[in-house]
Amino acid sequence: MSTTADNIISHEPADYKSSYKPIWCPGCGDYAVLKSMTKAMATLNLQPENMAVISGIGCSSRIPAYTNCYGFHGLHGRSLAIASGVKAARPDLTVLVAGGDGDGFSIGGNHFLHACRRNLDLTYIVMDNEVYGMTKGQASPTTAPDWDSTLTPGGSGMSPFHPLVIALASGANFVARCYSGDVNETADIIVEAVKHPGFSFIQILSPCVTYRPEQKEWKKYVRKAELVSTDDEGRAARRLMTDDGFNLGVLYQGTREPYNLRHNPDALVEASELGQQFEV
Amino acid sequence: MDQQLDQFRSISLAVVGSGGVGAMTTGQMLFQAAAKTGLYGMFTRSLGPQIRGGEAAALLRLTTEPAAGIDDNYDLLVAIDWKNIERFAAELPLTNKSIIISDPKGGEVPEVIAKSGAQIYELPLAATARSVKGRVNMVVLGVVSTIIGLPAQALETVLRETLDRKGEDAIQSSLVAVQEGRNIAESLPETDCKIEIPAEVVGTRWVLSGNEAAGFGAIKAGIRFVAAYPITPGTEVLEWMATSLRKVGGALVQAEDELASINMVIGGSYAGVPSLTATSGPGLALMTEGIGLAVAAEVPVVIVNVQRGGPSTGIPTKTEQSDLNIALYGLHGDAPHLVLAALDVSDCLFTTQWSVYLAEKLQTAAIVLSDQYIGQAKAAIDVPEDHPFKAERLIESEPAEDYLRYAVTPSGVSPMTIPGIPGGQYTADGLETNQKGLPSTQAEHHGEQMDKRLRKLTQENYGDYWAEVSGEGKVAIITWGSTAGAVREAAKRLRHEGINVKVIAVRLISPAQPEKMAEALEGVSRILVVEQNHSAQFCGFFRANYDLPQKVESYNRPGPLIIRPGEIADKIKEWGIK
Amino acid sequence: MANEKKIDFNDTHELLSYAYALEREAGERYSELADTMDTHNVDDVAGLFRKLADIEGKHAQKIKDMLIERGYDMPPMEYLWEMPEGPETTPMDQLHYMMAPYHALVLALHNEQRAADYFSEIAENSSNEQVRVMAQEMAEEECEHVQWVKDWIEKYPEPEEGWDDDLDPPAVQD
Repeated sequence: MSTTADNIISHEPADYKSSYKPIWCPGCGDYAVLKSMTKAMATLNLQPENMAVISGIGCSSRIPAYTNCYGFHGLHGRSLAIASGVKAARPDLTVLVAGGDGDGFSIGGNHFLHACRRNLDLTYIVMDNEVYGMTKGQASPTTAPDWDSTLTPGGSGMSPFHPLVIALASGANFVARCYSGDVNETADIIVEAVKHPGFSFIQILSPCVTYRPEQKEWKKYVRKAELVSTDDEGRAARRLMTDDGFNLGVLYQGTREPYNLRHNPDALVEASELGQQFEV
Repeated sequence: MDQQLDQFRSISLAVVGSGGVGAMTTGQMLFQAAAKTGLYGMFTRSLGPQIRGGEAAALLRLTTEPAAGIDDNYDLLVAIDWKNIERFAAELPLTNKSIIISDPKGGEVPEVIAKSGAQIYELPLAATARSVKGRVNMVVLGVVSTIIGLPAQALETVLRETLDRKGEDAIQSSLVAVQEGRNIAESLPETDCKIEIPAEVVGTRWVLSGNEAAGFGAIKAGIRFVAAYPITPGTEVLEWMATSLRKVGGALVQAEDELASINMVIGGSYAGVPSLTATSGPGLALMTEGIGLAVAAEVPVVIVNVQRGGPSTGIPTKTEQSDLNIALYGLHGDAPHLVLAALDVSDCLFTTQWSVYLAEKLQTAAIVLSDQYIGQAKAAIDVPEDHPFKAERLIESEPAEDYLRYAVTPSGVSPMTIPGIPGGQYTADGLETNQKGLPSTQAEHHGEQMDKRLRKLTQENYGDYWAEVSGEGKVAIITWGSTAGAVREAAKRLRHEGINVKVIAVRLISPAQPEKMAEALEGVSRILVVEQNHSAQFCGFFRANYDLPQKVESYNRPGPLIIRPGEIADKIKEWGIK
Repeated sequence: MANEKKIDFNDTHELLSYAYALEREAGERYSELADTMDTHNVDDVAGLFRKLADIEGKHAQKIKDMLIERGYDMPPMEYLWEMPEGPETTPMDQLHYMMAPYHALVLALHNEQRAADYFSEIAENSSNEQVRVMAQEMAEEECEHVQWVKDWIEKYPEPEEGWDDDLDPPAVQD
């Protein structure tokens, strides 16, 4: 990273943190994600007031209040919808969307598909702990089929959702996976994602110490992916066919144009002129 | 049902502590032990915002006769520490007759607590625990049981049950800690804070939560398919049913959201299997379109809504009775349906069971309102009465050539076919239809179907179950849902003081029951409507749907502070009625 | 996890800059951990983490003074996160809401040891003699810290088995 006068970074991560202390259980992966996010914000050197962090409901979705940016702790599963509205109305803002795997892929599943398609310039961070933590530990869409829980004794029996596959298939323009324990690498990828135009999706493996204590072992399984990112969807799709869920890095960076809000500044008329069409 | 107040004994106690000391477990064990001795009671709790290690208050009421709600104040408060007690202070009302046990190591008794004038005693809870390498919450168990007079045997039995999986060593070390607790409590002077243990246990007791009771009522009535999405404070209904349904050959599917849940249960019910879902306010809001479909297509379905603080995400962990409006009016169009409310923990069983029966009989949607207070509270109760209500649809098993699914009948209920019955095929629809079930835009069909769907509900004879009516007097206290407990107790106290009041605790809210209400209100000239919401929702419905020559006043407030008997009694006394 | 620490430094300016960033991060991390322990009512551990934050802060100040003494420019912000998290920084998943001071000190010991090892590695492998000398000094300083922490741990017994037993279930908030 260069330090020429042009891009001297004048913000510290602390500038993006609020004074509210998270209620997350000590040891929760989300603390590290918050760290990565604020480091990324500092690197991007944006003013906190020009950033918006939008979330849904769940442990991960508590994150907006822990940042110093504009935030919205919205409805379960609807963070992408709210964020899309924010960005479409105010393209000048940098909009980050955050939440968990339950919020994002279950009740939010439909909005996820269409946000990928729409390709608005958003960055969507999902803290994936393969469980519904906030409501006492039910299976989530990314949970393995044989994981025992109170609502699905013996396991849900359902194939897990593959977020990267769905994102790619639905047209997301940037697809990546990180591990919360790699604070700095994750921060770097968040920076890249924000800078990349269009809809950027990052799945961050973020262990739940309370309901999935075995996820502490994730640090042993994760690895930096051998291949660099591709801009070829087919190649990216083939890589996903041999993905075991622990390859970290940017998988795909596409070249689709971001959603066009069809502003044509040269063709504006005065509101009063619109009445002319009714003249007889 | 009115017991002599002199024989009624009650104590309320609280155990508070933070950081994983196990205050809840202590409360749970005390409650279970008390129930084993034949006492009745209620166990509720209040927690800090952390998921682990937060502040916790275990709140118990133990009584010698059944009581369906919490009392006005706490007689005993044991504090392992005072961390962030300001969060709970409003939920821990104390008087100058209350007793506080404080550990000097846990800090000074905070002003917000001490200002009650309660008698403070210091006991070295933590140091005692350390001295025997035990846990402080076990020491508290010993302290409390000594103060209130809980027999050692009952406590030991419960302790063994609770710690069984931790092994005999853990049990022994806990028993030692409990004994130490007893020892240090011996140093305290005698107090009034004692409960009379029944000489013998008459009949069988159950300890269960309202949510578990609702699940059981549903299964008793014949529910065999549930699709649902977890939401606080309704999740326990689903957790209980997930394992229980399997045992009776039914199934529960965890849906991806509430939109899926309501539509899945409509599907299950259309296919002939009595189906139910459970949710809370935000989920109910999502379901309104689906519930409307059930009403229009005349598919029986039951939605248990465990109310919490609203609006929107609101206060998920605290109680309120503010979903009445959406339950009554949340469906677009004219979509009459059933709205019921459980009156206490035990009544969650009956009301859910009865709702299933009604929904199936009348081929409609029933919204059963419970709330976080009774839904998540554990109550020690007598085994509930067995009721015969079971799901029984009017099935047309041999449809004729000219079978009409939505035939206009005198009762309004049309015999229905279910998939598998030959010759009975029809397409259920959200669109308005003619009697045959084909979509129609004609006034005649819309009119007759609307009339029929309303008639089937209003013509049904709901018997005496529509409300619990008790007492006599010129004054009536009318309430619905979980506030019934406080109202009944207030009425008991008033009657004891010579003030006669009538209590009408409404269980069936919609359709309104004008004749029955008129009968119940005979001789009444003044009404107090009591409910736990900000805008007096039931009072509004009451005024709109009933002729009220009497004076009607509302006593209402939103959550989280539960309305207690004393304040209702005081309100009535203000009226100066003799 | 490919954690590539930087070992080859061009000069002492670079080494000091990285060392400064390292100590700062370690100190800030201890502050964050203290905050978490505060929120979860674990006062003694919170106090301990604050003490450690203070110590790291002083160490960072010392390095800053060395930079100033030598007339070096202050390092730019990015140095704070160019590497994977510094060897002296506590990973955030190492907390438990019921942890005892003993556990916190074990973490601190681990951190100091890793820092000592890191500087030793530089001292051994750097091609620049001045860097080697300075790195050796730093390694020795970290070794002193290792000993301090070891002495400190003596005061806090390891808790008995079952210290993390919480019979109460987790609370639901949403």
